[in-house]
Amino acid sequence: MAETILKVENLTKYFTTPRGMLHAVDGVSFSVEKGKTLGIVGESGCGKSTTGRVILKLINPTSGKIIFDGQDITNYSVRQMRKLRVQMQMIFQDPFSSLDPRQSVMQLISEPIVEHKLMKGKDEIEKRTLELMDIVGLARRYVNTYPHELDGGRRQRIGIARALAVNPKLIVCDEPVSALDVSIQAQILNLLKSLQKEFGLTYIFITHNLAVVRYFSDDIAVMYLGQMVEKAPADLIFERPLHPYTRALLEAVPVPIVGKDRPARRLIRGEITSPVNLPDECRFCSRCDYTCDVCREHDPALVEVEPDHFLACARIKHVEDAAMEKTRGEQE
Amino acid sequence: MEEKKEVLLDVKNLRVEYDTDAGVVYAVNGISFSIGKKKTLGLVGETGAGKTTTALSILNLVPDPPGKICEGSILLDGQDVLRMDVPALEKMRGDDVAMIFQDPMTALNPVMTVGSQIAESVMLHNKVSEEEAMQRAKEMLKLVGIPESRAGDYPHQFSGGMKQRVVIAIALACHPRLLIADEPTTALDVTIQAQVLSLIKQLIQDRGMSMLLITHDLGVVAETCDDVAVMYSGKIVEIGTADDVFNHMLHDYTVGLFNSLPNLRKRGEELQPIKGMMPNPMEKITGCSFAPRCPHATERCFHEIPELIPVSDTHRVACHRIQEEKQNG
Repeated sequence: MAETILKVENLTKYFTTPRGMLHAVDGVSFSVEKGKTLGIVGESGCGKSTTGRVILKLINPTSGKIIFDGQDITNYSVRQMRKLRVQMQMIFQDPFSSLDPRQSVMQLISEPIVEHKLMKGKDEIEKRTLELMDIVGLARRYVNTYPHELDGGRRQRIGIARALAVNPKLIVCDEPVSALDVSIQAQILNLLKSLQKEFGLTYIFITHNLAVVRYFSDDIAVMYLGQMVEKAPADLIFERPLHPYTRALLEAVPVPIVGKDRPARRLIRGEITSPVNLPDECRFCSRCDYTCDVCREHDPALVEVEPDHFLACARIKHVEDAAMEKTRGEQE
Repeated sequence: MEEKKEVLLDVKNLRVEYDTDAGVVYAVNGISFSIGKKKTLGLVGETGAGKTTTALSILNLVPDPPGKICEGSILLDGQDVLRMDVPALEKMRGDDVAMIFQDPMTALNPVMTVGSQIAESVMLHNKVSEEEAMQRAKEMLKLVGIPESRAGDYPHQFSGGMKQRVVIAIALACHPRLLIADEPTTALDVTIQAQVLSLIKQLIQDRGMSMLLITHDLGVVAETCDDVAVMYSGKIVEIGTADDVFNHMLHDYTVGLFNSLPNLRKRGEELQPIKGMMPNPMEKITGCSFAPRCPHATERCFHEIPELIPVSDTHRVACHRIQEEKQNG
């Protein structure tokens, strides 16, 4: 039986704005097993980054429960969290703004070790810093350079080394490769994957890039306007997406294929609606092709529709029938 | 290649340098390509490949100093953009060639309503009254899928996708013949990206325009382009039809680029990134710029700059190995 490292129950985070209550995260529940990766996908404003930050208690949740490694950390104080920081770390999207420009690579990577008093002697810390540079594939000759002298890929390696410096169990990766070129992106993804194997890390991988998330994750959760609308093992989500939004998201990705194998794509209408003062209805209903009265009556809950496959959609029967008809039509 | 009379834009041996405090940056190192009428060329490459500098050169907008177009010609319908005087250039920009940028927020004026921003570009290029220009602006908004009633709104009242639609409306207001789109959908979410791409595609088709689409996203290229040029370190390394480049790619950089992409259909296996990094653009290249990262590089690749040589009627590659293989049958 695999060990659950993180369990989140009915997590919400509301922000008060002049126009009303902004529902950034609205009743999200999930759990992650040790050594696995949960991918959270969605578009801007769906609450994926806020979810990541709330889990690490960088911001406090409005309600709900966060259980990390058996402890309920929901109401932990800043001091209690500080002790726990060595076990949970974060890698940020933008390696250009998340590193102090006035610190050298040596200072940047050794900072968490010094900060958490993991080692004392200067030599010991230096040795560990160089070791970390080896682990993340950053040549030792860069040890005295500053972030502005390095390119995006190397800067992201520093970010990873900083996260690894404290030997964490869980790392929340918030769009770790979105700012990088494809060839560098692949290098960083491979690195993160091999580190996971080597150190048994658990990742929460937040991204808008569906191809990356499939490559990387064991389970995938799709978020829309603060809610989880679908969650399943990675292959299942891609092969049998059920929620109309998940389907739309998958079809919207431009695929690098030219010629007869190129899949057809359908567009979804409209844009994400405002997350402020949401009515009690399905949040996707104004953009959905299958909307009916039921969708407008109340907000559907996330339920297990088949083993391991969770879905929040009241019209699933219709969506499936329509899909079946479409495939039948295509076959004929 | 295209018949001579059908070519709208013909760039020959373009070389652009930036003279900075730290030294000379060789941004574009002698590239040649052409775009046919009603055709779309995708210019693909990673950060620093020289894509945007190429685009700015076409409008003769390379910031000078520090930038300098050192060599080459850019013929737009037979007229050399690089030898135009200022009034001719001003007429060309907007009238013949329009450009849309990656970030719609910085491209729009935050203290002007979107209606008047579109009308402004109409009035700049046409002798029309303010009312007529505003009328045209409203028509343009409708064309890009924004209700006319929003002409009086300011940019901050629009979402990212809507702002990019406004930028497209401004670009197309004067019926240019060539649209240069520099990463037009990179800042947008996928579902919105899909909407904006299909809008651009439909508009240029309806109006018989040509387009130069600059992007790092091979998926976007597959979606929109007839022809594709792959740029690396200021050079075009491979150019051809979309079918040539996507289905019969030859250059090792193109191959590497495709191998680095995580596949939407498969998962698990290790990605094959291109080893190493882009060369420093301040170093003068004496051989193939990709040689240090190329799995097939030989002595010759480090000493001799490969030229773009044709491998078929439409497909050209700059690689010594491919050239030798072709010569040896």
